[in-house]
Amino acid sequence: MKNLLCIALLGLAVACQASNTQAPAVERDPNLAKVLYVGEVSLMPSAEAIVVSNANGLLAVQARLKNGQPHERKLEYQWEWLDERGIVVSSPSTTWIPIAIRPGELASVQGTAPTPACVDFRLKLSKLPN
Amino acid sequence: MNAKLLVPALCLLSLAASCGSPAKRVDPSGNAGLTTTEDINFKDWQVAAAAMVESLKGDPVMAPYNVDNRAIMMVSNVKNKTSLHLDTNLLTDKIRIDLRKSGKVLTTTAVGAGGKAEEEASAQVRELKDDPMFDSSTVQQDGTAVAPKFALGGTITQIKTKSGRDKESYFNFKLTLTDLKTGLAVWEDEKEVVKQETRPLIGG
Repeated sequence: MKNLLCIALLGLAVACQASNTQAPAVERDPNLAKVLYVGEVSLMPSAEAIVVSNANGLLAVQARLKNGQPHERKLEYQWEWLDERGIVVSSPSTTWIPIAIRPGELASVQGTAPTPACVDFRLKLSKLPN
Repeated sequence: MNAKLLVPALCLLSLAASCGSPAKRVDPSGNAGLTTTEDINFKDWQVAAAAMVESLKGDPVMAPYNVDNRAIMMVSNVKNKTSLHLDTNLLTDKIRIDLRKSGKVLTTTAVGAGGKAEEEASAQVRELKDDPMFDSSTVQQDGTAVAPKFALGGTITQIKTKSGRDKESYFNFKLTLTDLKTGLAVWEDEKEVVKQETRPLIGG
């Protein structure tokens, strides 16, 4: 009886595993992890997609931000550019930039690295008072 | 004045006088600076410069240039078409710093707006060749300064609007990169900044 129960449980475990592997895997864009929300996340538009490209030899990034709230959201964003050692490379244009996104709007923000030495980025988002 | 009214009036006055706040430093990269419709505030300069740099760095006109082949640029006139007294270097200085860091552009200071050198030292040191105090072989020779290929210039325009207690200022920052060989505007872009305020009913 005990053996029968063990076999049944084993079969159930195998079936569960098989069904898990069959489920379509939703791959999250790893670049979305480079979006840092400063402050209360729930009040901010969320980054939906990141496109990384090259602009005349400089790392260029576009982020799509979705405001899922029923109100206009005012926020500011700042690009942080990192060299291959992970050191932040600053320049006058890497400042916090204000933006307003209407309810339901998908807005784009673009940034281009200040120097050719920049190989990675972070995008910081912070809510502004409405 | 009635003595009964004088005491509360003095209390209110002293309360109003004590409502100020001490001076404090704010992060110049953040949005904690003062915003006024009357002026171009430091954040406006930063936002305009960042937009221009972003546009110019990614434009095809910059494609041939890199650290081994930099474009030489002069900063020309940025016309102030506002009613404000502006130092337009607040815009162009940020742009040239960013362009130099990008490895694509070097700015000459030997020539500037109106043909006047931004840095007069380049011309002044050449006058030292006849000065017996200096070793003439160490004096910069004529014909060695590098002439610019491009000129960066533009305009800043303001439109003021008033409606009742509401005030609005529209600022347009427009920049042009001119190819000095052809005289053609090879890159142009603009950044608009609009600011509004509602004046208070009392004391506005």
